[in-house]
Amino acid sequence: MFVTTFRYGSEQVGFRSGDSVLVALLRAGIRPPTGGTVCLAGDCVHCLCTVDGVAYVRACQVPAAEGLEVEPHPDDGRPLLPQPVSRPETVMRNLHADVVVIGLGEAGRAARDHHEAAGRMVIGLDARDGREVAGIYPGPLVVARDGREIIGVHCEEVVVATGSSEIQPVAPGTGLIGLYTVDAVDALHQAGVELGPIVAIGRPPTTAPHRLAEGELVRFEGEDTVTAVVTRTDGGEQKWECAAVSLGLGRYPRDILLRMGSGMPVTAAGSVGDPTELPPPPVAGVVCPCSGVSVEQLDSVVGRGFEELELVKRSTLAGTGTCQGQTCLPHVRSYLTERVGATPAPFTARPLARQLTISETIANYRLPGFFKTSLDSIHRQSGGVMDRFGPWYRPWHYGDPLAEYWAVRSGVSIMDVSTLGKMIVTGPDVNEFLERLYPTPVATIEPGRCKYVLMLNEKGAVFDDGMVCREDDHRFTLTFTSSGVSFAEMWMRDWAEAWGMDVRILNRTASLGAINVTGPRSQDLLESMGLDLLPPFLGHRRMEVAGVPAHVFRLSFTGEASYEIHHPIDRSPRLWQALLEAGDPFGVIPHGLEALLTLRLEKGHIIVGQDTEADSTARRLDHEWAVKPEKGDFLGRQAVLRTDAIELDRQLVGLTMEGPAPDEGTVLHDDEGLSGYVTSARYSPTLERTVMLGWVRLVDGEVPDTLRADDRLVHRAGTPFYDPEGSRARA
Amino acid sequence: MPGLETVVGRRINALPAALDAANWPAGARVVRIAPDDVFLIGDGPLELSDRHAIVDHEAGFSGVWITRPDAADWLERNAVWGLAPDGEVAQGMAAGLPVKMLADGQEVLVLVASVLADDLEERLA
Repeated sequence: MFVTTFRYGSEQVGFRSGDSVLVALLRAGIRPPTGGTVCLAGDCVHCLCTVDGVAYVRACQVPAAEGLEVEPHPDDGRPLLPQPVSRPETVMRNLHADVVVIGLGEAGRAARDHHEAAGRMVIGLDARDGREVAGIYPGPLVVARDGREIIGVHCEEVVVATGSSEIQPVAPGTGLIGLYTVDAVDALHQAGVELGPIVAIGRPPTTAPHRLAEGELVRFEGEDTVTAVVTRTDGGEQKWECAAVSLGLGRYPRDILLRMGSGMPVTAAGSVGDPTELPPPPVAGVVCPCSGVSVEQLDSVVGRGFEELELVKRSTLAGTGTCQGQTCLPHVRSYLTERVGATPAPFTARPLARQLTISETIANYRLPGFFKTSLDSIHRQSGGVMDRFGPWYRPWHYGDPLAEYWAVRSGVSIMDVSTLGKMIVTGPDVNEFLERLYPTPVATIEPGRCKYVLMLNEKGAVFDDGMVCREDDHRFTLTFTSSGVSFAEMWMRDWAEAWGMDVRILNRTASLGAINVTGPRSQDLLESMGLDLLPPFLGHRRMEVAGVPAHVFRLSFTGEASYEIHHPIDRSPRLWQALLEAGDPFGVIPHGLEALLTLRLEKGHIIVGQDTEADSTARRLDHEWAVKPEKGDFLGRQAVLRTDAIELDRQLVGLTMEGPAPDEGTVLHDDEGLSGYVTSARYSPTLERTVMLGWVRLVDGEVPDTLRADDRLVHRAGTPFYDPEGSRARA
Repeated sequence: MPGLETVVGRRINALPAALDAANWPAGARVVRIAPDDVFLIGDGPLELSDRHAIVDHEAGFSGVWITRPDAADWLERNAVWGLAPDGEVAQGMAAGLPVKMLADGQEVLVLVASVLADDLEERLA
């Protein structure tokens, strides 16, 4: 009478201390419903079950425990997906060692002792101790599971001492219940599990009573459970009545991890590295129990010319199932040896060797981080509606985007533009470097002055834009888009190295905050703070603002006079607050992206990535003024010269329409059909109509004057839509 | 992990050889981010042979000192990399974010870009 039980289907199953789930089931007279030769060693797939909601668990490897919920896998098909349950998140632990020994049998223990004696730090992993290795990755990194955690061991060397597994039979009837490997028979006998009359094929059990069958295995007989095994001798077939069959058909290296470590410092210890002795070629029956591949299917694919092991694997899926070829590989290699005349090497082994749960697979996986400016909490406290924009959280608006818009157009407003890409470049070769980098002359930029620049790739396509601001002969501040600066930094470093340029490049994006003071009263606001040496339009100057050391740039993205104040990021709250206080008499309020996107579109400013495509040249963007091929060589120049010689096929143009703005992405039609699509669209409060940018197909070399979007009339319009002379930005 | 606070210092981008040979201020901590990139924590004169070096005020990192065992335990559960020898910087993704660690005896300085400091604190809460 057992006092401890687990549930198996609808039954309560008792167990003894030390029983695995499978041993307890067999002791209770319950055989795995899928049939097949039980190995009791974790090699085969014949005792798979669902344990506590996790499918594809080998019952022979799970210690029986009170309260376990075990469900048999169906004897055909796949187990049902478990009902969603709340589980603790699987965590991953990363360990570091000199040597990892996988398998702590006799050979593994000897290897561990050897390395420890040499003063090396060794970590041993053995499935029998509950730490089952699932894979070896370059590093090497050995990944194991222990049921609660995923363990990643980073090491210098791996020793695989996983031994060998018993070869499974291939013959008609291998799916019957009551077949066991010889080691399983002995283990069950020692555990006191009664199997009934046993007939042994090949190597006999050492302890379990049995009858030894003579001859070669032909087939197993029975309905669901084996009742007899048939062998062939010189005298013909012979039937052996039985309740169980013990199969001692030889051993095959358990070498999947060894093969997985190919090219890495992974070595074998013990029998896993022994030369393999293949079984006789199979003639009938199932070769791969995981994928249900029979000898007949091997005949079929090999008959069609798939004679290489890797092709047989891919065409039949033999070796791709739960056991990853441990069962079928010796038979398939033996089969191909006979058919092709040469023994193929085992197929490539890749992680994972064991199935992981979804939770285990994503252990410690984290989404990428999103940046917050140092004003983030102030924006939130001020009612800012925050959202991700590129890699940053940014305020979309503060409750009234229209009021924010008008503050910029008619008064003064501030915006947190800390997300702007910012770099400093210096060095003896910096002028030549930037000349090659940018398609517009850099030499003509005087100290204290700025210039708008495009960045072109080798194909002449625009991938970023920003400003080049010269500080002195050999020092520049460069700006980039918020999303593009990381790539731009890599781009610059790569080219500096490729060209052998002596330059220093420092990305300051995350180190410097930036606040844009914009609007017709922006200068009044700053002058009220005692700043009387503000830079002129397209100029910049280092100065203190409210006691904060700052680099002030006179630029304009909004179309109004603007001062972009770069400063140490930890001083942003102080500067923000000072600007709000000083701006109170001017009615200053902050504005968010919602207003900014309208303001910039009224000026016709593009946003790289939104208004551009992968093949957007400056000419297609109507930005030819920003590219000067005559200045000499620069990145993309050759492509610019070639594409300039081709007739223009499409262009980004300004468009207007009455009424509300259509969705960005809305398709544009001309008289002949599809023309392009809208990249940016906003209703302009100032112009009282919708303004847009969109890609348009040229007809007879011209942009059509009218198009249709959502069955509404669209007119071509020049950009900027607002203040085309730029007098307000320069004011 | 205790709360992160802004760590102020100097950011230096210079020729690697110049950084290798630099005379750092006494008592300063040198966080070598890359061969050409140093975050220097500590005041005092700096002797650097590269006249084109960029030396700027740096306030873009947040950090905290923790004990070496706490750092090792934290890395074990959040990173695939371990601590570097004393005085050297180990860096990589930890809890999904780029983190740097400078070991100094029984203490370790954990550094993260301030723009990710809130995120790191939330992930470790």
